[in-house]
Amino acid sequence: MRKKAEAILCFGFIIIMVTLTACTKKQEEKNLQEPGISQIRSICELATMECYYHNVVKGKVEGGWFKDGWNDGWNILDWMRKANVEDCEYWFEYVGVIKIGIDMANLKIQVKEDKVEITIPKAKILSSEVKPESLDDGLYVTSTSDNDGAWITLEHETEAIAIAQENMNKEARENTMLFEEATERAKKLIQNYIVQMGKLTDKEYTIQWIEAETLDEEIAPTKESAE
Amino acid sequence: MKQKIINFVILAVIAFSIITGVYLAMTHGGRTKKDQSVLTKTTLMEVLEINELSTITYTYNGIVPGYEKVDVAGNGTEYGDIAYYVSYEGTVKAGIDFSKIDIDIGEENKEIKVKLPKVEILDTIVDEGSLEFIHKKSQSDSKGENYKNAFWLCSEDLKKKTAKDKTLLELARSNAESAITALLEPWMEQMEEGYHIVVK
Repeated sequence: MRKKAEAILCFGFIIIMVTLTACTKKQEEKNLQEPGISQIRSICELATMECYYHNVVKGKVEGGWFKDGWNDGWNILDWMRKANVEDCEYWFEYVGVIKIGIDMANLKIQVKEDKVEITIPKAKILSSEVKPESLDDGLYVTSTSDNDGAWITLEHETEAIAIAQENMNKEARENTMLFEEATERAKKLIQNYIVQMGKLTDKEYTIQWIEAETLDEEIAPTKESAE
Repeated sequence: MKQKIINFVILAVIAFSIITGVYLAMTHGGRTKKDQSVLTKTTLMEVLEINELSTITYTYNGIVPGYEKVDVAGNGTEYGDIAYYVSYEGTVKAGIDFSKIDIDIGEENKEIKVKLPKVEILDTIVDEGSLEFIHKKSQSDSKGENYKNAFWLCSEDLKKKTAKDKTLLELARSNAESAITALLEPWMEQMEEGYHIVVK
């Protein structure tokens, strides 16, 4: 009789434990259906914009004698020392690519019931690169008569790439709309993900965006810029 | 008497277990995952309804030579020597039409193939106020006859260059692929195990 009672008590205990386990698993499944930080980080990475720049560098060179050194003169037209020509204006085309996106180190997410709080930094330049081959394909023009279409030496071309890189970085930094577009792109993708998660769980999430402070940093080093 | 008490206790324990189990199942089950799979072509297309992510506007500045004579009214044939070079600032809008995306769900190999249409150049705009000149011939100047053709030359140059610019077209496609992957992948990771996306 005693054994029978013990068996029934054990049976009852097992039923309760099995039921509790099943409920816990359902709770875990419910948690999996909430917006997740790893998914949102993945979205931010994919939201990175690759911006194409087809641009023109313009400059002026004083004719006659030149000073040496990069900071004091324009060495790309060194040949003009021999020619001792008049003041010259030059243009050349180049192509570059700038990646603009969100720095995920400052990204945070907090889910409270049906409210999602996302701290997102503003987009910034992640990398920039001038395509060296674009200097050969693009136009090179000067205001003197017979020197259009060809770089004089490889050294001149290398210097031109450096100028193009600085020119592109400066223009990108000044183009605030580009950063706004990149930030909005990331926000739209994140918002879409959260809305879709809500549809699956019959929940309507409210998103609160908090802009994180972003430090003003130097643009990331470029890739190899000369062949 | 003792036996009756024991029997009563046994029945009470059984009843209590059953009632507790039912109560817990009803109150702590929470929202359950939908029984039916959400992976249909229709659901995936609904996720891709954000069309404004399909195109991006890029900066496109260039230089174009202006010849002594240009047959603007005809086929744009240019004659004579180069009279000037004109630089312009422009923008180009490129991307894909999301409504033309085709989705194929492979249940056996758990692969979702997303087939993208070709990248299109949707718009090119030259800023007329940005034109600058380097004159090669003494008779050409920015207020003369050649100036009237310069804006047309720049607009045509921008259209032609962007239509065959492989780097631009590849980048536009890459940006569209990233946007589609960002729309589909995170959501699918949580809802459907084992499926992977291939964007082509």
